[in-house]
Amino acid sequence: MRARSGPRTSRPPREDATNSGADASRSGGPDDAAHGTEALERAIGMVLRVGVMLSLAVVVIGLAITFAGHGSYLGSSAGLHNLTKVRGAFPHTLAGIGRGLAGLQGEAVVMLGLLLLLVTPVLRVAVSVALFALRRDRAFVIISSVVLATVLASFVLGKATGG
Amino acid sequence: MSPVEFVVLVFLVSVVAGVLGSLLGLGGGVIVVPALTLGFGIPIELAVGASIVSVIATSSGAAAAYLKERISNLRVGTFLQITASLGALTGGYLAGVLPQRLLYVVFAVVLGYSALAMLRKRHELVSADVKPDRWADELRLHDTYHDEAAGTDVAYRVTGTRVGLALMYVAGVVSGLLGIGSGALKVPAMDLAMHLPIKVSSATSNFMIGVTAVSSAGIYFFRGDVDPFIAGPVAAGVLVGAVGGSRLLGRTESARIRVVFIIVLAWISIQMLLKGVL
Repeated sequence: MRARSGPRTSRPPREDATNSGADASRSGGPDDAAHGTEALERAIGMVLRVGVMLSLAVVVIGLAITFAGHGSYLGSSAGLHNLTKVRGAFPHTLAGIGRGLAGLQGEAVVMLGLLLLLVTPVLRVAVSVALFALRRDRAFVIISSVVLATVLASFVLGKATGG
Repeated sequence: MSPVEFVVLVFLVSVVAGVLGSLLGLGGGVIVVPALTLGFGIPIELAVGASIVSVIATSSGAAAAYLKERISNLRVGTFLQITASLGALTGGYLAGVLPQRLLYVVFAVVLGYSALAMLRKRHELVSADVKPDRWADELRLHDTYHDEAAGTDVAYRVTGTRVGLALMYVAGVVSGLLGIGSGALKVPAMDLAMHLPIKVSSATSNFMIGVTAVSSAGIYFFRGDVDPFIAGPVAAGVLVGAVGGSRLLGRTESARIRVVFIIVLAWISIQMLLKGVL
């Protein structure tokens, strides 16, 4: 146990602790663990950045295609109710989305973009498992694997019950 | 209103939801659902489907801004996510069984209590008396973050791990039942029970709500509750807002974040109470 008198409250940063968070001022454990966490967080951030940008691009492109293909959507209000009612005419199964994409249907492209978005948190957890393993942090490899398994199971169950 | 006007308006509302959500660690769903149902007259099933999407968009969008990752405590978030995800699974299944009205009332009460408790703590940067917690020590959950607005590094110790797990399970169940990220329950749980600084709670909640929401998202998506004309602009708007909002987190004072959060909590609490009672 460290010989510390109690938890620290805020205080001015030490002169060598400029911008990096992964330095010895972390009370969370040995420097090794601190560095590992920072690399992990950076990797996760990058994976997410790509996933998010891709998803956003695909959704916007999909919406553009949809409106380009349906001139009436720009002016009249008649179509709106049909587009936003329950059991609307948009694909929501993987097969349906595949067919829609083959036919360059804008709605299918949007759905693809949304699927990409839904996958990003799963990717995040998966990357964290890999990187905890790299750091040989056995406790957290187990913990993050359990989370990943739970999330994947629920996604599979959702697909089974829904479509 | 024409479809294109609808899409643009929903996009704009979603940008606001994304900013507020990423700043406070909420999913934006608590703004999106009332806006869609009351403001645009969208059926509740589709609003909830879009809400799930917005939660994930807030979570991943805010995380894509690197700064957020430095503030959040990934270890605490992953650790608590075990029970949060299990809870979401449970909630998803219970969705058909429990009366929704009862849920709204319970939710409102919990939020109201959280708002009051956080109000008392609003000027604290970090808790002074934190009880030692064996799991927190062994899993090395304690950490430090740099508070840009305060201009200092703040070291904190984590406690209340078991209570935290239990609270996250409850938050997960609510998540699955109402189709929200339950950030409104997660942030107070981390702030009050586990003594994480408010910014860390907010940033960590951002991570957790995305993972929790995925657990219900599959069901909603494949059931057809995610409508591209609604969820599309919601996703786009929230992503844009969340990236911008997360930049604000560093620069805003912790006390102000708490106050804004308390106001939002109180507002949600009243909304929920009305839905349950009327």
